[in-house]
Amino acid sequence: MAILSLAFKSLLNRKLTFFITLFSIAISVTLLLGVQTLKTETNNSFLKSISGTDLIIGSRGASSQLLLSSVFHIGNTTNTIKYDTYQKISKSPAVEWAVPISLGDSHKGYTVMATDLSFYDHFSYANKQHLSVESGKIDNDMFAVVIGSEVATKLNYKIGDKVIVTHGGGEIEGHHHDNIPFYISAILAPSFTSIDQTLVISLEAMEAMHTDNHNHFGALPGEQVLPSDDHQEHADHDEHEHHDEATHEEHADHDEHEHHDEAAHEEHAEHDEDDHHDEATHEEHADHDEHEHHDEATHGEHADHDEHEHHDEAAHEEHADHDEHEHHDEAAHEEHADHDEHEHHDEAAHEEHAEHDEHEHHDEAAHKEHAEHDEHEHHDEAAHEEHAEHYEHEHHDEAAHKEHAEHDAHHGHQDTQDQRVARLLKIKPQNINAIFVGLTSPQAVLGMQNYVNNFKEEPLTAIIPALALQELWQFFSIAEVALNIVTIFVVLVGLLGMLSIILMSLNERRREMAILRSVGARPGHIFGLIIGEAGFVCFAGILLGVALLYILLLILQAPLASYYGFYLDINMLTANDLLILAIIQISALLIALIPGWLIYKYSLSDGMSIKF
Amino acid sequence: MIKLTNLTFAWHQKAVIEIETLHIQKSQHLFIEGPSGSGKSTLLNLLGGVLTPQQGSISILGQSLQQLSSSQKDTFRSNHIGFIFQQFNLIPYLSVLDNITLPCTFSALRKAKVLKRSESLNTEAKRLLTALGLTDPALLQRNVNELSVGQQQRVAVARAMLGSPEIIIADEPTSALDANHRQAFINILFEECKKEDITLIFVSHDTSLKNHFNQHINLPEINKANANLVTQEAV
Repeated sequence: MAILSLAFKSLLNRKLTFFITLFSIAISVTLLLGVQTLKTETNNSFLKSISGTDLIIGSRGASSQLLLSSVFHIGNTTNTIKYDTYQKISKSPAVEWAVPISLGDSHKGYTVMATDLSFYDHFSYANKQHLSVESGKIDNDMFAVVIGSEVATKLNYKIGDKVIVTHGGGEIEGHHHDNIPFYISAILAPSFTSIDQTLVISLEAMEAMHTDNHNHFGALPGEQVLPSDDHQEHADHDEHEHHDEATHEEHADHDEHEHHDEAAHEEHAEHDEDDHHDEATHEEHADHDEHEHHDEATHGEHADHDEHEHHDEAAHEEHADHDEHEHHDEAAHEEHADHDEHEHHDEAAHEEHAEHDEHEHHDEAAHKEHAEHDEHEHHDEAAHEEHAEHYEHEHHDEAAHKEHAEHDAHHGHQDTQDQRVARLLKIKPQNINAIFVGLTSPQAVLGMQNYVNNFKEEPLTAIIPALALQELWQFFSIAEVALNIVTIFVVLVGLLGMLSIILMSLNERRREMAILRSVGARPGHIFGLIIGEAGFVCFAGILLGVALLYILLLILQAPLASYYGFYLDINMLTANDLLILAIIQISALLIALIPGWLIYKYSLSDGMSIKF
Repeated sequence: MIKLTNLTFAWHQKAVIEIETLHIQKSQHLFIEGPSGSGKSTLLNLLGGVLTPQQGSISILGQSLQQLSSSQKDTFRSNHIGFIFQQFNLIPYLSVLDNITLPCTFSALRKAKVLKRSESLNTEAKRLLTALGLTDPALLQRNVNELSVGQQQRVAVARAMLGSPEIIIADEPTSALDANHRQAFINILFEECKKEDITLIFVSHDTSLKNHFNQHINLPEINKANANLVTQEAV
């Protein structure tokens, strides 16, 4: 013990070399343990990326590619599989739930993933945790987007912000689907999985972006695509007016209008389905439909060369023919009223209409127009009347447009023309990239995997995530080994630094050894002094290294989580870490045998003679 | 008290020490005169039990050194002999007091003796320092390298004397001192050795000092190996 106290005092006397050695060992220990920690944490966060999902199904191909693209959103997306396949598989008796996943688009470098609402119910990570919403509300709207926490913080997005999705994964390349802006409905809480770097949209919207083959939707027949999306509808109707005035004699045009009306119907139907749209919108859409019908009816009348006096009746008939979902009264404007309030109508529909209408401003205008229109109908020629008709139509649509805008203000989102068309078209997803499947019982996994791998209608691959993750991790084990070797060498360099410092000090310490010998120290004491010094330096280095590691982890934890979405869990040293530290300590003592043996020899030969 | 008989020590096949007989009496102050190269440090190492002779015997205080193991010799040395060297006698990283009490780290016997006399090692160290004329308490706080050479040598004396070993061997302890300090140092050393009844073996090439001693030996005269060396050189 006396020798250890001497060793300690000796070290303190040579503070500079002591601290340099101490730091070199401390840094190597920090590096070694840091690498170990990172390795463990990476492995953990890697294996925690998905849980509770029994199978991931994708098109036939490499399972690692399917795993990487579907779970980590890394690399090329796999080939698509049919949505029908998804529907078939989800109906399979062993399947408890199935979530369709579609990938391939990005937003400013972040992955855009399309899925449906069941994703939030079934997708889980880590210890079967579900994704949780930090702010906003997951909106079942076609053009709502739910963004991951990192997307929100890095791009400084908030609820209601507009997002344009880019085709392809790159940050700059690819086609911008700027005709279909999304509004942010919810921001997810950090999960430290790839979801943090992901924007989640609806499958329908993904399909909508792609069905037009990356051309804007706007190319409705007879229309000119306008770049602005704000008042496109209005402009659109101007176009209608212009068009009607100029070319209503073309029969083809009528057909086109009919087509348009059908689209409008669909839109209407879609709004019926959509619980987020209130009555007002509904009615506005109804208005819109009605007017288009009216318009169309007018054209139809024109085409039929009917008498103007019979216009109303004719129009009515036309409406009856075309409208799939409404009851129609004699006059087109009554039908309009019908759409608004679903009320009883009589011939004096204008007044009733006025009384019942919620959209007074608009409808008053419409009424006037209708009145005018009626007047014209009774007295004017066809062309004139039509003109008036269109005039009215335009006004009406303007009002409708305003209403529509007001409605959409709920979301801070205003549908572009393309989006409305997309809604009207009632787009259904055709293709997806992957299916996350939960099974009714774990025993069903292999059977189901077999079933999927031999799926008749298209070639599929089913992977078991936990297994595939482990397999993939094996791939990284080479890098892990390389990293380990590097850190072992760093520790070795630290220890060799200590060795060289002790060796260099030996000659100048031979006098000290002689003095110690003279007062009765044995060569073994001298040996112990050197070994003790090395042991102290290494032990202090290890302690400092561990302290540095924890300081570093504490400092890095927040930035790693916020900038890299990597959650570093700070734990106690593992048994493995302690083993490593013990090995370092023992190595230091073993290395110190070299100067220890030398000094032992010196002290034997020098004795008490002071030669230096 | 110290008896050397037919002592031979060779280093790399070359005889360095060949002494037929040497007797040193208790309480004697012996001056061994020897220029450098005459084998005096080898003789001191043999006396200290650090080196083992190839032939002959060394008996100290009735104890034959060849009967002891090397570690027993180390303990024997620390129990019974105090050493003073030419200079740089002190361990640089130990305080003045720690330097003085260092022998007690290795010798339980001397520690026991100290504690019989004083209440603690440090008290005894301070008492010795005072006796050696180092009364300034500020000295104790200083790094040993900041002491003057004369002060360092007196600290070395204090260390050699702590716990009253029977023998003190001083190897050129005054060579680093100037004439005044040399005289003062020798006076103090003699005084303390007398007081404690310590046998003093003083080795030096400085013959001017031999008058202070009641016995003196010229090492080349008794060391035949040395004579051989000289003859060889002559040839």
